[in-house]
Amino acid sequence: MLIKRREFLKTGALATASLMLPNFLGAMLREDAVDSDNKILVVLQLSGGNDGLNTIVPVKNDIYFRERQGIAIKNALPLTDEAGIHPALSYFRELYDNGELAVLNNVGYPKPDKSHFRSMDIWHSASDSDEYWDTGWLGRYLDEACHNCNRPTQALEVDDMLSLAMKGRQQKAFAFKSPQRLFQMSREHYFQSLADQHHHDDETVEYLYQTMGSALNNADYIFEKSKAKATAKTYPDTGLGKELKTVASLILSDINTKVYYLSIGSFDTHINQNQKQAQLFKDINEAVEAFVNDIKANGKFEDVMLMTFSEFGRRVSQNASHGTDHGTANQMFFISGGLRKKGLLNQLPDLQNLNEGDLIYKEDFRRVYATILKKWLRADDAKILGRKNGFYDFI
Amino acid sequence: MAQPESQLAFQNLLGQTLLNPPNVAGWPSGTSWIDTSTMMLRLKLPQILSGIRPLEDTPKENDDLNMGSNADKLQKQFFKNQMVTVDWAEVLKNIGTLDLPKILLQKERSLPKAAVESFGKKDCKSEIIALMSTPEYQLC
Repeated sequence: MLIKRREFLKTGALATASLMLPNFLGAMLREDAVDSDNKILVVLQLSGGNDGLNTIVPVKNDIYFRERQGIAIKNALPLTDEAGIHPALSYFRELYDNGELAVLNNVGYPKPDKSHFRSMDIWHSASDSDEYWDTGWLGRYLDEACHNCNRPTQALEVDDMLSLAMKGRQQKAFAFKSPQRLFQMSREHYFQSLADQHHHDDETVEYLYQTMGSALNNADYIFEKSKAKATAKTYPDTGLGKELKTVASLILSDINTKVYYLSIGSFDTHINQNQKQAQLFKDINEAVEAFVNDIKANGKFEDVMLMTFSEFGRRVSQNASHGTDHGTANQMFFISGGLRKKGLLNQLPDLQNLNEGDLIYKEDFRRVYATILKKWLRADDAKILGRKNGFYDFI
Repeated sequence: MAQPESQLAFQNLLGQTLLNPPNVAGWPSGTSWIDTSTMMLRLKLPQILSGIRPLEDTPKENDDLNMGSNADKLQKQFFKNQMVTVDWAEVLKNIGTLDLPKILLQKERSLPKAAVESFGKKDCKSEIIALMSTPEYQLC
């Protein structure tokens, strides 16, 4: 076995330290001392505005079928007397039956914005719709929870670019597309030599050097972790399948990551919605099934929560192209073995009282964030979100 | 760049689309323009544009522009085959004989000269690329 010099030194230092210190102090010395309450959040962003009414279908609602004669889902899998789920999400029905899925309907915010970019900005920053914030809710969680972390790997995004949600004031999460790309980055010899040999000068240059050094070091570190206990389970050969496989491998390793962020899209179904949405749901269904089975088999499902959201839902009536246009409130999914309340958490959308053809939101997404931050990640929600939002009791 | 779309894609990847700030509040200030992803892309950019290495990053989809169509996918194909020609003869004629660190960088006190020289020792072209692939160059 090849041991790198760096790791050898680390091991050596620990061995010496643990000889002289009581056990509990030795544990604190470990780089990533994992706390016993190690809850993990996986955010899955449905980009483009998923049509919630064709996801959780109001199967007994005449208005729904009247307004959507060309695209209504007629073969929804029954959940309750009133509600069914899109047939491509068959595994979600299984989760529902097992008490491992919670659905919160009518989530949104006051004065909704119908631009994808702007509404996504609002969801990422957790601002009001007339405020403009340049940090994200999970980035500010990092500022709070990780102000002295020596490895800023508490939040990871599986993408080439880092989302606003993951940028804090002091801390920013780390984004990477795949373990292979991490491996390449960790072998950037020129940049590594710059980082090793540069001279300290003014603050701005130093900040850039730190950012570069952090990228190179994290790439190496996360890559090592991703293969330390790489999952042997089979995942579907899709983008999301591969990404969730990487996430599962990291969850099984001892990395300190609390938040993983993934996106899939585009759900912007203005034209021929049913075909496009069904294909995306099929990908999600298969990938989530492989992921949950993997996590369950490793006994971690009570500590992992998969949450979905979309920047908005869609209008109640279909358009002339067998699609739907940008709407407002939407549902969120929560999948975990550690839910305190399961199933449909509240009423289906009210299709009778609309605002110019759009659903009226009943639940504020910032209350969801507060619940996740406080009850799942054990963080100071009011400080991170800038105000008190109250909590839900499904966690 | 032969395709103007390529320029847009680079701007998207760096989160800095010209004349199109993220919202009416304008461009965020301070260090928000730089994170580990944008930093590494910036450092690799001179090599990518010189054709030494491929561009592997993909911008996020822009749903406001696409309206559910495949416009982005087409743009990505363009982008992967981005045709960039650097007129090296002209570049070398104009600055090849000058003190390169001095004219390319505003700040060079922090610069690890040995590392830059060993990467850029082959010829003047590689020295230019080496100098432009440093954190110092990002401040120009």
